[in-house]
Amino acid sequence: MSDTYLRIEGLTKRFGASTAVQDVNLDVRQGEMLVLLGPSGCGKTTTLRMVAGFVEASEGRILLEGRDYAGLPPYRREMGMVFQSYALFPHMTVAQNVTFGLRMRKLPKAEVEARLAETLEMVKLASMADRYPRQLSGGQQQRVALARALAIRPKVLLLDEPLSNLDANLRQQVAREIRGLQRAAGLTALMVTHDQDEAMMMADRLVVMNEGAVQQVGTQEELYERPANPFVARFIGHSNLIPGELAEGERLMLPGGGAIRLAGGYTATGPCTLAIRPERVRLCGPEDAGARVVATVEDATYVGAHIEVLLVLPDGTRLILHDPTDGGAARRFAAGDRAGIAWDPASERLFDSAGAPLAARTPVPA
Amino acid sequence: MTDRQPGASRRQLLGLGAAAAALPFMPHVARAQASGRLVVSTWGGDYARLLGSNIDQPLLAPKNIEVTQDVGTEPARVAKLIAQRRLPRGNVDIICAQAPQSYDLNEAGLLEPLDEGKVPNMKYVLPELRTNYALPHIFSPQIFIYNTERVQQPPTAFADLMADRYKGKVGLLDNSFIYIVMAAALAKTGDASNFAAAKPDLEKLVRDGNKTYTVTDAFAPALRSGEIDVGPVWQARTIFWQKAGVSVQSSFPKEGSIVYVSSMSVPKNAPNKTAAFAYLNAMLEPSAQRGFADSMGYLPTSSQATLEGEVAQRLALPEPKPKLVAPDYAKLAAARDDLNDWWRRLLDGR
Amino acid sequence: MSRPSKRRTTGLTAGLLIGPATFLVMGALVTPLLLLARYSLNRYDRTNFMVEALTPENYLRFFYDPFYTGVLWTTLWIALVTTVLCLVLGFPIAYRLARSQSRWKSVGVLLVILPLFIGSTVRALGWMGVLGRGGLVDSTVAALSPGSSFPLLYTPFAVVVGILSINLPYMVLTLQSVIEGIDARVEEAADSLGADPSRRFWHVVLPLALPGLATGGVLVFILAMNAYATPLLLGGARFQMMAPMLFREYAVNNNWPFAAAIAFILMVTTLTLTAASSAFVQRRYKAA
Repeated sequence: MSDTYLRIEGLTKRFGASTAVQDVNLDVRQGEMLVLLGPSGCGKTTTLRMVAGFVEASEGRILLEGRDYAGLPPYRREMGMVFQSYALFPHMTVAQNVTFGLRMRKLPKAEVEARLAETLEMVKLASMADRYPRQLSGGQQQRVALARALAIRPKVLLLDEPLSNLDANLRQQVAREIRGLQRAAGLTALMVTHDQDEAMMMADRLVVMNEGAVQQVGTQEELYERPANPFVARFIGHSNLIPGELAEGERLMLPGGGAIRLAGGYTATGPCTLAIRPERVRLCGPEDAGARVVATVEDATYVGAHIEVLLVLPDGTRLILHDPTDGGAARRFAAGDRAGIAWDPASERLFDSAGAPLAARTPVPA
Repeated sequence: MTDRQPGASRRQLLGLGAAAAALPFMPHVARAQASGRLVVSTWGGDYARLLGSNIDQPLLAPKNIEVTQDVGTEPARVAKLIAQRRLPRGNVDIICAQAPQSYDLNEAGLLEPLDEGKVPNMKYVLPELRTNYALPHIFSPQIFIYNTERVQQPPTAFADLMADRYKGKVGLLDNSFIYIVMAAALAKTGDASNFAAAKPDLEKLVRDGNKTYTVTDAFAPALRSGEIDVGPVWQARTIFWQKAGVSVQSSFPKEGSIVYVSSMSVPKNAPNKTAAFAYLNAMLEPSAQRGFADSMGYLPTSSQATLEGEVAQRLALPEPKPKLVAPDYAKLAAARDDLNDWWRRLLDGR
Repeated sequence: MSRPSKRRTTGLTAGLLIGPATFLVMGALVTPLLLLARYSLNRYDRTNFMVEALTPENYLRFFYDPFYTGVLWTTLWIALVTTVLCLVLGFPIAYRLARSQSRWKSVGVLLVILPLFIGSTVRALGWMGVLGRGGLVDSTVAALSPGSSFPLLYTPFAVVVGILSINLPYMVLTLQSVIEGIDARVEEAADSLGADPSRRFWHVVLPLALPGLATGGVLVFILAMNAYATPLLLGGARFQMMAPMLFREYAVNNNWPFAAAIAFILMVTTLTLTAASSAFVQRRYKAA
């Protein structure tokens, strides 16, 4: 891509015999917020720390505006970092914290003062300049950490789980603030999080990682609608994963007996996994023509946004369904009732035994 | 506390089980004529072990005297004795100390007078070592130790130590410097107590760059390594280090040898004096005395304790018999503070 | 309404809990000190050892005699030199240990602690073997240049080396725990903000470790001021420090009043310098 600003090429980190990060390739565009998402231990933090320079890469290149940064010490990389623990200097005031990077660069005093005022204004902490970190709330500390990183006008802003130490009710607000500042400054940012909602809210694009490797890169919609493999399907927005054997291209034979009538037609045969999202499944009468499989209602729970229905397929596999609270069908069924289950062809994703998506023979309209 | 209680109530207490449990902590409680418990305040190590095997077990156990050792450095034990001086009953029956220390304790009025009625074996004590407040246990004459590999012409008088051939190679033990002063005085004036006359010699020795050692155990490595070649020490040391494989030999000063005496005495407030006298008597028995000569190389203080065989050979004094000079402890005590002060400043060189 | 009474009960319980410990400390620590203070005002007598009196003569004797003040200066000088060396040598070791993620870390910590299992006297004897004539250093020098000799034993250098070897573990352990308490991310933050290693050390690590450096320094300084076996064995008879002199006055000369006065002078000097350095560090820390 021509507008790539930060390019990560073949980045690999090995600790002894184990590989923490395996051949990561990423292109980050100018002004973009790219969020690395994955369960703990997936290699996302190690990747970020390699970009920051705290961890030396075993292999690979980190190209920023065409220059390789992989061999540079962190203090020459000009990357502003916001840490999960904020890592403010406890023996310095807010002002001293924010100007630390500027003082290290030996900027003229007037310039330092001007940037301090400007940055504190940006994070709305002008009145706190003389306080020490221990005198601030968690949210305020977070903003100081952000201000400190922004003050040096970094080439890339790195955010390591920036919201996870905040109260749940503060998170959304701070997330929007960070996003706003990043956009306003036109900063290229790389963020790491394990929290899907946070990632969805902040990212221009997401990178899903698992076991040291990138699973999929894309926008929120791409990941949600077209997960590249069962892991992404389950990790982003939860999916029911139903293993089975593909027969005649349109029936999924369940291992314990019974079959599901698939929406699309497929050319492949053999073992595969059906992924279907709870909110894309509908209940209907067991004899209804649209029913793809008939299941037994085990339980139904009203959770506010929807009714969560737990169903048992003929072979014992469990399936979760989210039924709308207004005008949904769930209220017509009681525990123990038999119910038909239906979905649209566009909602159905089928993966082969290697985890690769299978294309429906009849192209599904978008 | 219990010490101040009248005897009757103590006897009543004895009937109680509680007293039996407390017994080990009050060694003076249970006691009878020349039996019972006895506390000996002594140095630890070989000396304490030899007391046990030569005196306590063979000689006192048959008399039903059970000996407990209160082991510690001499200063600590003396301090304890001084601290308890005003108690009518202390908890030490025998105190082992160097002779000058015993003199000081007696001057302070802390020691029980001794005579042949109390300790019959006292009549065999070598006359020059005898006092009426402390009985000499073992002794050792001061000799010149020298490294036999490097010294062809051993010193035979104190003046030899100042000869050019030993310059810088004389070792002096800080902890017995007073005895070296006495040796110098004896050599110079014939009077070991003429300390003032000895000072210039010591000053010359120190300023000539001869070595001083704070601990006795540093002396042998220095003799071995060639840091020093000669030095005035106790004869027992030569024998001890010979056993350890250092090639050293003793030569006796022709002007006479000052002697080191380790003595035993009975505090005035000793809880079991009868047993204490019995202990002193046993300590002077030839068999007990020989044990210390065998193991530590010290000479017996009893004329009855003749040495035999190899030990006799090793500890034999040369012919003609050298003059053995016991220090005048009274003069020593009077001059000690000044001597200490002078010696410190001399070493310091400030 | 019930608030004050509740507070009183908590206060009472706390008092009951602290009470026995306080009494123990008073009994075990303060009483001997008071006794020592009282002794130092007594008069020495050769036959009676100590005569009750209220005289400043023991203190005057010390301060008016350049010999004794000289010993105090030597002691201070040695203690300061070893403390500074402990700080300079201990910090890098402690830092390495604290920041180590290696599985060898516990081995490293053990290596630091191990010497503490050996008494200072035994270690001093070990140094005698290394520094003495015919020892390791001397024989190496003799082997390299025949005929020459390089005995270091019975020099101030030997005393400094000996005290250093004894005190360094205390310093390293103190600093290690303090450095472990400094969030490693704070250093990374400095790093990412453009501070090179030396500036990161001066602006971030050092100020944050300062209280630990002060604690370790004070600990090591007190140990050095009171060193006994090391100066006695490695310094030899001609090298004087306060603790051996004190012991000699008490044990060899039986001069308890003067020994008590020396003990008090040593203690007050140590405490004064300790308090001064703590106050200094505290002010710097607040200001930083």
